[in-house]
Amino acid sequence: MSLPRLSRPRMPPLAAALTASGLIAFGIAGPPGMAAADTSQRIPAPSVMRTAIEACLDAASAAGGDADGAGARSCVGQETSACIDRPENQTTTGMMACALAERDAWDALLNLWWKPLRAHALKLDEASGDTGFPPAAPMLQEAQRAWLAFRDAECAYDYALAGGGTIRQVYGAECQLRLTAARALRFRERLAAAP
Amino acid sequence: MQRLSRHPAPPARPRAIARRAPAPRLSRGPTALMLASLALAAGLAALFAAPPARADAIDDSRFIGQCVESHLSQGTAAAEAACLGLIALPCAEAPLGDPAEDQSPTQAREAAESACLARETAAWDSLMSEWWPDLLASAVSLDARDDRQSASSDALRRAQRAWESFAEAECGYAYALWGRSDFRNVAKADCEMRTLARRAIQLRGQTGLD
Repeated sequence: MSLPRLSRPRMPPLAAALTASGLIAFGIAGPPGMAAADTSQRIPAPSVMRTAIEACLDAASAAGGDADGAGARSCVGQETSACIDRPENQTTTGMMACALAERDAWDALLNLWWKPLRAHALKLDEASGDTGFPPAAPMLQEAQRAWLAFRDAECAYDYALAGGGTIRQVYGAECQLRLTAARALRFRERLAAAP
Repeated sequence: MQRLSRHPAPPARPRAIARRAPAPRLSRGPTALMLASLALAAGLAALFAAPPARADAIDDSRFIGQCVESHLSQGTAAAEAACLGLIALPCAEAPLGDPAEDQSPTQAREAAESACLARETAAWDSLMSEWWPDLLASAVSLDARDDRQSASSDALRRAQRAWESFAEAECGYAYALWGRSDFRNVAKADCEMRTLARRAIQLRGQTGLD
């Protein structure tokens, strides 16, 4: 028994109205793609943001090496700022959706860079054989699992810090963005160091 | 990976140049190995902290603490750029004594670098212990307000526990990346110092907010 499929996912009118008035508090993480659910005309798609972020990172690397990573870090949050600058997004929900869309963009980059990093670790493990030392690939996996738990606990704290108002949704989303981007940039640094 | 100073051997190089017999595989795997090395590091730190070196350890953490406090108004990234390595870098540049008989010059240098990094880690660790009560107190006072509906102090404790697990796993990975190369000890010590320092700076930046 399935309902006819709509071409675009829609929120039930009541939920949409409640969301717009800030009465519904979303969980901090929100499912991926939530940002685009009913807001596709106001919030750039994560894939669009991702392309802009990659261009920003390339420009930062081209401009003199960026040894301390400050140039790359300056690419974090630009898309959210531009998104929030649109008048129609200047609501708690709009700001949260902007930050979560950029979080999703960085998450896609994180997944992109994870693959060669993991392949690198596997290659090292294969080359060194059973030496009795801890292999790198499972440790990488474990570190990533631990990072994910940390990110969510840390952002739950940021969310709690904001107190009872709906602004905490923005805090939680901004935290998700900041931590996901930092992790993705760490992967990128490591890839640059590894051949 | 950021490294302490110019170093040979990126992780991709063949790692089979074992100067020592590999350590016996511990039945409990990497965690036991890491715990053992952490215990060793803690033992060394305790050794360095014993009189008459104790005054130096206090000076280290004061020095770093002042660096953080004076840069934090420009943001955590500025404080990181200014303060990470403040103890370890000059320490590692000090001339080495004669290497022990069974040590190559490289091994002696790496051992000195690991010790310098551990010395800075100890300084960050004591700053973290010094700053933590203030941070927790801010969270508790936020929670005590009537209009707050959140338990930020509990969330802070949970976040810190999650961070500790993450730091341990992250530096276990940094260690594992170097296989049996002796550089693994420097890589791990470097990771521990930086991960802890960034966390301490970030938490310090939150104290007194609101």
